[in-house]
Amino acid sequence: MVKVNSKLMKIKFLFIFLLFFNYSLSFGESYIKASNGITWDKTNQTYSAEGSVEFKNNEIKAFANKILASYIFENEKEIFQNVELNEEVEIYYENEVFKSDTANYNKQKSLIILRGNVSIVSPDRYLSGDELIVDLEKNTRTLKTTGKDSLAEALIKDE
Amino acid sequence: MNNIFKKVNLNVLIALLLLSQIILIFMNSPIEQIAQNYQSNSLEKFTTMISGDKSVDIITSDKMVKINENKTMLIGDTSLKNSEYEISSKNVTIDTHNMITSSVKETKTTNNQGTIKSEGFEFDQEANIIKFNGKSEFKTNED
Repeated sequence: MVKVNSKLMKIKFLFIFLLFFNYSLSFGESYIKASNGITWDKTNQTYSAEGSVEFKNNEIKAFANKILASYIFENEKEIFQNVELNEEVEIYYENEVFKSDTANYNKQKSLIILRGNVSIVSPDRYLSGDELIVDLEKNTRTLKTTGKDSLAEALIKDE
Repeated sequence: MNNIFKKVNLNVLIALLLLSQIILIFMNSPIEQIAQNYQSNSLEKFTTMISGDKSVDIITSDKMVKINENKTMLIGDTSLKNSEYEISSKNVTIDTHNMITSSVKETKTTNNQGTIKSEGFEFDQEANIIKFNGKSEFKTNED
C-alpha cells in the first residue's frame, strides 16, 4: 500500500481550487443591469435598457438612465460594438470618472465621446467642459469648451 | 289489494322516471360540457416542434391548455428553444392573433452572447423584439 501524503494532497486541492477561482473571476465580468427591463431587438441587433442602468465590460463601468448597445456577429458570437448612454451618465475608467448628459462608447476603437455638462474627476484634477473625447488606446483626453465668443480645447496626456 | 299494488308500482315507476330525468339533466349540464371541453383541449408534459422560415422552434411545457382559437396557456415550467436562444419561464401565454408570447413570471434566457434574467418577458414575433420586463440582468460571455 502506498501511503498518501495528506498534507500534499490538501495543498494540491487548494491549488486547483484557486486556479479555477481565478479563472471564474477573470471571465463573466461583462453585464448590463437595468431596473426597468432590457429589450432585445433582433432585427436591428441592439439591446436597450431603461431605469437605473449599469454596464460593465473589461474596460469600463458605466451608469446611465438609458443605454442602447449594438452588437455584431464574430465567429457566430454576438460582440458589443457601440454603446450609447443617455441621461446622468457616469463612466468609470481606472482612477477617473467621466460625467456627462450623453456619451458614446466605441469598444472597437476604444473611444468614448461625452457631450453636455462634461467633467473629468480624478485624484489629482477636476476639469469641466462641453465635449470630451477619451482615447483609451492612446491614453489621451481632449476637452472642448465653447464660450460665447471663444472655443477652448485642451489635450491632456498622462505619461 | 291488487289495485293498491298497481298504484304503488305506478308511483314507483313515475318516481324512478323522474329521478332518471334529473340525473340526465344534471349529467348534460353546460358546466360539465365546459369542463369536458377544457379537458379535451389540454395536454400534460407537452412538447412540440414548429418549423419557421429560419429555424425550428421547440416548445416544452408541463401542461398546454388551449383557452380559445387565439390563446394558448403553457402552464408550469415552460421552455421555448431555437438555434438563437432558449427562454425558460412559467405560465406562458401564446397569443397567435397578436403574435405575442409572454409571461409575468421569472424568466431566464440564454443566447449566443450570454444569459438574461428578468421578472418576465414579452416576445413580439412580428417585430422580432423580446422585452425582458422588470429588474433585469444580462451577463455576457465577452472576455
